Amino acid sequence: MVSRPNRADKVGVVISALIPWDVPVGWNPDPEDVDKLEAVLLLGGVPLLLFVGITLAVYVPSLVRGERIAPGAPAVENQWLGGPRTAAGELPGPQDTGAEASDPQSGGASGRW
Amino acid sequence: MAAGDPFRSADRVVLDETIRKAEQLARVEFSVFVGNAEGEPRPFAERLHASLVAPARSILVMVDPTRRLLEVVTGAHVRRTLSDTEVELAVAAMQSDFAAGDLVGGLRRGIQMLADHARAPQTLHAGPGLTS
Repeated sequence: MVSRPNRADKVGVVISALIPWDVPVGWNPDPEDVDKLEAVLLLGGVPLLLFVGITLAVYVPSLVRGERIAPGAPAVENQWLGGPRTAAGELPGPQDTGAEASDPQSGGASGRW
Repeated sequence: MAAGDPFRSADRVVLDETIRKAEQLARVEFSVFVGNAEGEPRPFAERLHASLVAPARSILVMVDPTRRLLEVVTGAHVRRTLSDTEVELAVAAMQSDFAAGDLVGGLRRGIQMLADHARAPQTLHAGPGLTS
């Protein structure tokens, strides 16, 4: 009794005709099984090492220069040269109308760089 | 130089010396605030200026290196000899140095320019030899 090829077999034959399934020249036609531990180390360890390496390459120069790396912290500490009377945190708010709010006769200029 | 401190000890000494000489030359008080401006920079700088001991006779230079802001506020007495146009010149000089990454050099140059302009002009009419 000869069984008729089903649909999957037909598709397999067509694909085999279009794409050669032969083992490429020079490849071992009967390779050894890959060790699971080795596969995990290769597929997981290498990306992990790359991640660590890139992270170190980014942060180590900043750490050596003494720059901040923590997000959210102020880049520069407030400091005075020449001497203030009060600290910046003790300044009156914009709505304050006391003597220290601002001098309407003051002048000056602004800039950005 | 500690983290968060843009100045080394030597820089601080140089700036203190520059401020001292500027104050002797111009006979006004110089105060430099380097830090983080809260909110709008101009009102913040004006409030800093108003908090000084003698605001009318003081020049405040506020620099926010993070936001790249520079404000100079002059008191009413200072404005008699230092016009806002002259302050703008000093601000422009500081901006160019700051843009080049020279915070200390920019502050020194700006303070020296402000002091030069704020110095009261010497008048020959007040000399003792001219009075009869």
